[in-house]
Amino acid sequence: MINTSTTLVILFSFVLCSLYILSGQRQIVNYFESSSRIATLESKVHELEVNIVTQFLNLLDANTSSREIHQYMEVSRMLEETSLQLEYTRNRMKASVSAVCSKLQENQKAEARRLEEFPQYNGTKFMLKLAYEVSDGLGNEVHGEDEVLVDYSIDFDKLLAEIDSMKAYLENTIGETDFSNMTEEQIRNYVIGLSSRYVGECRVHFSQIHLDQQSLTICCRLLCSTSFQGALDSAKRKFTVYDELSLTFYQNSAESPHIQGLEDAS
Amino acid sequence: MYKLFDKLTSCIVIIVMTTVILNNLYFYSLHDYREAEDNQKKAQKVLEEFLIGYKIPRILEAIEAGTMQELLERFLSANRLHESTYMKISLGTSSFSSGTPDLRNKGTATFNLFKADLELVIEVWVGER
Repeated sequence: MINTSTTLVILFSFVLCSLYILSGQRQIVNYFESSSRIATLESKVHELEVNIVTQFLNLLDANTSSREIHQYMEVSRMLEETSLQLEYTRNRMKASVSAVCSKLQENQKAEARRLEEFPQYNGTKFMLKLAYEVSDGLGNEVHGEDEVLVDYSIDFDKLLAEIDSMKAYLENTIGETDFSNMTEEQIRNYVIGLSSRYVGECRVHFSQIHLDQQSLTICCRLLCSTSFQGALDSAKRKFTVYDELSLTFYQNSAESPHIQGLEDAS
Repeated sequence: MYKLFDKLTSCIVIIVMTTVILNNLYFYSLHDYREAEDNQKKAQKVLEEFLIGYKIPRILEAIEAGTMQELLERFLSANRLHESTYMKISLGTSSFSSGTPDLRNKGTATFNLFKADLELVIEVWVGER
């Protein structure tokens, strides 16, 4: 009788131990499963970031490749703040992200990280401020904010600065010149010669140099070009920025010459 | 009375034996879980290395040019992954795959990229042959 009871107690203890081991193992399995789900969610957050950057680059590629020649103001608008949004569902996974994309200012510190899935260029840097949310449909979700840097191969600022610099050069040089003793032909040659003396990548096409008794009017188009590679393909393209300039000098007036851009005149 | 105890003892022995067997089965599946989790991490790492190594524009370009198969083979053999990894890449109607699909305790990683109205899907499986 004692022997049987002892055996029973020992066996019962075995059963209990086995149950404890089973529950312990179940917990370990749960840990593996949840850590695997969290790892998947984290990788999906990165996937979202890559996706929103792709969308932004796709937008830039579409803007820059739509035409070969772009107006100055149009390029300035490309650099303005843009908002993007992306949502998708795959299996039970739901992901959404919104981004505010803006050009990285010179005084802004580039502390945000770059996504290494995209090549790095010495062109223009953009900052994307992201707000994301990912849920796996099993009660796990991740949401947060992040900042990433995006490179684009065209240095937009350099192109715009070249045009600004040419504009300032023409305005200053022509404005300081005394045309009173020059014939129209001499003025024409002088003005055209000015652009060839400019050291820079900007070109000038004069459409009108008109002299009458009171005023001298010069209309021209300033162009600056670069070749670039699309952000999502390797096709080489040409990108040209232009601006129209109209300068009017009132020679018999005591006032300073009146110089005006075409946008202002219109 | 003794007969009753004998029957009870037998029952308990059977229960214990069953529990021990179950325990062992669980232990093995735990091992499988651990392997699968390790393989999932490896799959994620392989995916990251592929994306960082080749970059998104080059991958899209290789798919469009039809040279993705060659690129996949080169990546797997350069990293000695042919035996333990299977990779599949699809974009629209184009699909490329390389490696060994028949794997045990496999861990998987999937990457979806949306470009305009197309979806690029990269699947990586890592496991033991």
